[in-house]
Amino acid sequence: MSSRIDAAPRSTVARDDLGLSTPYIAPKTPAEEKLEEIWRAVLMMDRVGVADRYLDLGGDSFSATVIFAMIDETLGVSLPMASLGAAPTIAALAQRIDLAKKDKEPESA
Amino acid sequence: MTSVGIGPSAPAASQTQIAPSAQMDEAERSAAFKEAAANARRAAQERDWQTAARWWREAIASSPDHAPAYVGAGAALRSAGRVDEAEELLSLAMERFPDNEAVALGHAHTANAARHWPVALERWTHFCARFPNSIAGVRGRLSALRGADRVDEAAGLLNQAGEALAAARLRGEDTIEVRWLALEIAREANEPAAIRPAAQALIEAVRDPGQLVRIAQACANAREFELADRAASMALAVDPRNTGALVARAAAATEHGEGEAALAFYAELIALNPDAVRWRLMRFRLLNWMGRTADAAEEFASLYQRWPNEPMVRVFRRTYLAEGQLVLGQLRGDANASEADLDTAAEQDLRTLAERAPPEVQRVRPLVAPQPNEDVIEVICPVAKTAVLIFTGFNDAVSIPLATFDRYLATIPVAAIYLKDFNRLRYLGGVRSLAVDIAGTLRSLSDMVSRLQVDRLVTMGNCVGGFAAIRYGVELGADRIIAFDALTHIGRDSEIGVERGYNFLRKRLAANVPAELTDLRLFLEQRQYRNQIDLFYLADSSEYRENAERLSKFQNVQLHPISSKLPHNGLRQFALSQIDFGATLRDLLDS
Repeated sequence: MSSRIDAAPRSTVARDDLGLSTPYIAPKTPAEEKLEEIWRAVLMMDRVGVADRYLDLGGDSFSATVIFAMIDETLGVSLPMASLGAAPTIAALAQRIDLAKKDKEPESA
Repeated sequence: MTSVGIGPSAPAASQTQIAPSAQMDEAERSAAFKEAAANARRAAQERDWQTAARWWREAIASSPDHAPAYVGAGAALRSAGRVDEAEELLSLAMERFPDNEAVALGHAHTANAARHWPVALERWTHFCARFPNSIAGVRGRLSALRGADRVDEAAGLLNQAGEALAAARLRGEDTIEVRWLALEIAREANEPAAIRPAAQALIEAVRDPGQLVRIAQACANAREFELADRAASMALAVDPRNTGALVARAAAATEHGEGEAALAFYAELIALNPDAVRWRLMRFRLLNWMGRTADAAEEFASLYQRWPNEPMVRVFRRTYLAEGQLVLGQLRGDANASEADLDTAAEQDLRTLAERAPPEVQRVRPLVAPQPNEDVIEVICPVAKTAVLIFTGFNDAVSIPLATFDRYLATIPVAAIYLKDFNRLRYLGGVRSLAVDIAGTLRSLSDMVSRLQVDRLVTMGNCVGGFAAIRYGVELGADRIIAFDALTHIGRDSEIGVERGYNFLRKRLAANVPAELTDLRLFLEQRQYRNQIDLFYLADSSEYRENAERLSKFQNVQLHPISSKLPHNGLRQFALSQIDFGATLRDLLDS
């Protein structure tokens, strides 16, 4: 499924046109990379920095619904939409995903 | 105008020249400097950075010993995007004025502008050591840390910056830098109560559209939409094509339920970038939510023709045009379009429901054809003893496309009337093709049910359709009312801050319908009703649970929690949870 996110050519909004206060920071961890892919597809943007705030990018509840469904589907982590309140950036959300994944791992003997 | 050295008329504006003109005496040089500096400041006020840079260079040529001219020239060159020239000039200035705070500040800012983060951090470290009370230094270092992806250090610096801010205020400083730092600290701490005064103080002082947009974004994050709108308006007054400001104003108007205003901002965004599908989708959704359903359909058909494979266009189609999928598939000239691209769990759920539907042989009547432009679809079943009124939700479906839902219903010997609220006012403005209000709609529906000659009446619906099923069901004396995820009042704004979209619908309803009509608890309190009311709701959704529990104490009301990890689409989740949804639906309608 994840490979399809980028399958279609799209006409995107340029991140740099939005006048964000944060400089662009590229994703580093696998969770950040996947989240950037999802946010970019759902918000229809050319790129999203990991420190960019969701609302600054013009995100709303509908987009959030789609994003969280995709997170569940592609990363296997089910987070409440309210997570965006306390973790409004890709970097913060990725940390939560990594923590949730860690919690799901069986304890080693 | 005195034109000396590198002036506006000089051919090589980028040349760095700091030797004074030999032909001028001291008095002439001083006069030339003052005039050039005044012209430069005037150009900078008008945001004409190229001209400002040229005048500053002329000022420097007239009198190379004035550090402010280098600082002004550096700022103008940075703003004009000529960062290399700014670097060259300010490096010379650093040699000439090594102890000047403004020069050092401009020098460090230039490294930020060039995004040479290691160099910038080195310069800010030196600057902050040399000028420890400078708030501008704190902010510059903060930007460099963020740019260098040292996010944790940036957060740490911001946490400690409160002390520097307090000290600056004790010293009586109230500069723009101080106000910015106050806003950044409040924003980092996510303290809306602190963001408001900080933003207000800044709005009064800032004229740069880029800075105003950032203030607008900070305010919008704190749900201070009026302030956000004010800041964005001011940005647009200076720069009418500022995308960030238009986005902020569109968001504020949406939040306030001001559809026409939001549409106007999206129109400007579309004009600025006709190739961006996102603004077209936003416009389509607003038109739909405003009850301009024909315009919305036209908009979607147009954008779907252009971007049929855009993933979010497919998501919008599935979500907002559930019943119209086949029509759009034909429009695209692809018979399989309605079934294609099932690349999300939601689409898979819909496919599962379609696959599980009872076979044709079990049907007691033909299926209804998709009729996206009709808000009343009557389904006759000659042997029916029961009639069911099905109130669809905002998207003209019951969280399941009507075409799919009808494949289950068509196996049950009931007459059915599918209803849609094209007014998008929870049916409180009536059903458009029947009447202009509830009373007229109730009369029409009552006549229609009488003509069906049935013994029982059932009303059902999902979400806003659930609201209507209760409201109309009680008025029509329905034997049973079945509501899924019924919204039983307008509800409060989201506490998590991402509800811009749905808040529009709530605000619009509040603006168009008297409050007492929107609350089903008040409605039931005022009615002597005997109907059986079954409220199904997604147990894990605090919103739907709260809406259902508000009615739990009323007579004949039974609550049925649905277990699902998903927060929306109650009837769909309920149907998926049943081994045989067709049989369950029959039981619900017959018993």
